[in-house]
Amino acid sequence: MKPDQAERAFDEFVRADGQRLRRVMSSQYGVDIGCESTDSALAWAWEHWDRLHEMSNQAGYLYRVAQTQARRAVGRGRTLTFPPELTRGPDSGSLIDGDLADALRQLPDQQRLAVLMVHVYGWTPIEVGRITGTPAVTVRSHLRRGLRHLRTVLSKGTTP
Amino acid sequence: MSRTTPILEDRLARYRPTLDHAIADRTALRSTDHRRADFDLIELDWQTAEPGRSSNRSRVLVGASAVVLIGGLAVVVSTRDNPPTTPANSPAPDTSVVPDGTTPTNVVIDTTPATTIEGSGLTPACPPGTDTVGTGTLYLGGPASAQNLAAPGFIFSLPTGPTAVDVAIMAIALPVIGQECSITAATPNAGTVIVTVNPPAVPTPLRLEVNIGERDGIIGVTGITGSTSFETNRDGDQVSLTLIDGVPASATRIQVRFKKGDDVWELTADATTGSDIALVVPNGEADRFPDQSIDWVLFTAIDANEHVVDAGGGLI
Repeated sequence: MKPDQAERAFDEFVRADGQRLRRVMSSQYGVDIGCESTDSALAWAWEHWDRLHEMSNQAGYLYRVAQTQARRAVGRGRTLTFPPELTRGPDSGSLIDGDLADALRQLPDQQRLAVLMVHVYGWTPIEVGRITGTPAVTVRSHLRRGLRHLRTVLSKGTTP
Repeated sequence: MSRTTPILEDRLARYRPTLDHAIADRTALRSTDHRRADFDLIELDWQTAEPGRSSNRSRVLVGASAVVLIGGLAVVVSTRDNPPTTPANSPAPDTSVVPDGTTPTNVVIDTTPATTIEGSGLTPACPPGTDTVGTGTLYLGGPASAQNLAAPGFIFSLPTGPTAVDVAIMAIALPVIGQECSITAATPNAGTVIVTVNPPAVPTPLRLEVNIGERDGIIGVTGITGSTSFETNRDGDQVSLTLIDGVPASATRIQVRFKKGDDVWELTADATTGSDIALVVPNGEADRFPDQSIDWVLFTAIDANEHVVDAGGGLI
């Protein structure tokens, strides 16, 4: 592939799949680790673009690359970061920090990924499974357990 | 169905803009370049050595994390005017180069991939009084962005080519690039680039020569030399690094990184000259690429204050 063709193809790939991957990784590992691992994976993608562009599921492969990076970050004790949930207080007036972010951190990463991608970003379990290489039925299971887990955690908190 | 179900799902749905905003912030999609405003930035954060960090750690870095390849993707940002004259690390920011949402007038964005490093520039001045380099982002070539040290107001662009850019990144970015710190580069003659950096964490400015050459038909960085002369030796599958002379007197240890396959390994050695430093995968770690040879080696000389006082390395 000529350099300019590679550039165009890579640009297109990043535009189409880069943000999707960033959301997936941020949902699973928190914003900091998720974005860092996505950046690294995209850098890796450029280095190995000749190989990657031939693949049928580029985003799925890159997800694995990013996941390796993210797992190492988690293994080194990095904290999963999620932005605070701003919600209305009991008086329905002022914004207060809800406890959703804390509750999300307590979920297993696969459950958190399923919950956020489906209920925050509106993906179907099939779409989640396509990028993570997981059967849709497994994603649904993670989703079901994740929601149950989340409700349990939140019910012990101060917000509804 | 539980009464709380819709509440939870509503909360999750309402969480989307918050999460997206955090991702956008983290991604630093503040590019001032409208042509690239929709481009997903690729950025690497480099954490420099921090005081108290274990000196004998060995760890695997995903090779990709150490590599940004520019190739034909390079968008070269270069100042064609005289470089800013504000002293490095001046407490007064040079507002002409602050990525404040507008493209500085003294910057020319050249979309032609470069084959040489040229120009010089300053990022906004380092915070006065700080004693750590901190975290910086170096993105050689590629789309200009506020987080890209090759962005408007900052000049650092490497030749195209997929090899050895990682060497340059590891050699230059890791030791010397600090967020909002300064670096200058010049090309006294073809094929050689003088990079001078003055981050506050390094009392004695580093001076590194970046050698550009062709290998396997690709022009790229082939070596980086500071004050320390060195050589690499190959004996069968075994590669070693020998520091010959010129190690700064203040250096207390040498941190060595080498790339094997897709992994970058890190070793620590004494700052003594003459001894061979075997470039082998540290004990207890698995060599995922036993059949592959070492691509490059980089060393940095660290002083007692965890400052990088010299660096060198190159392709093997």
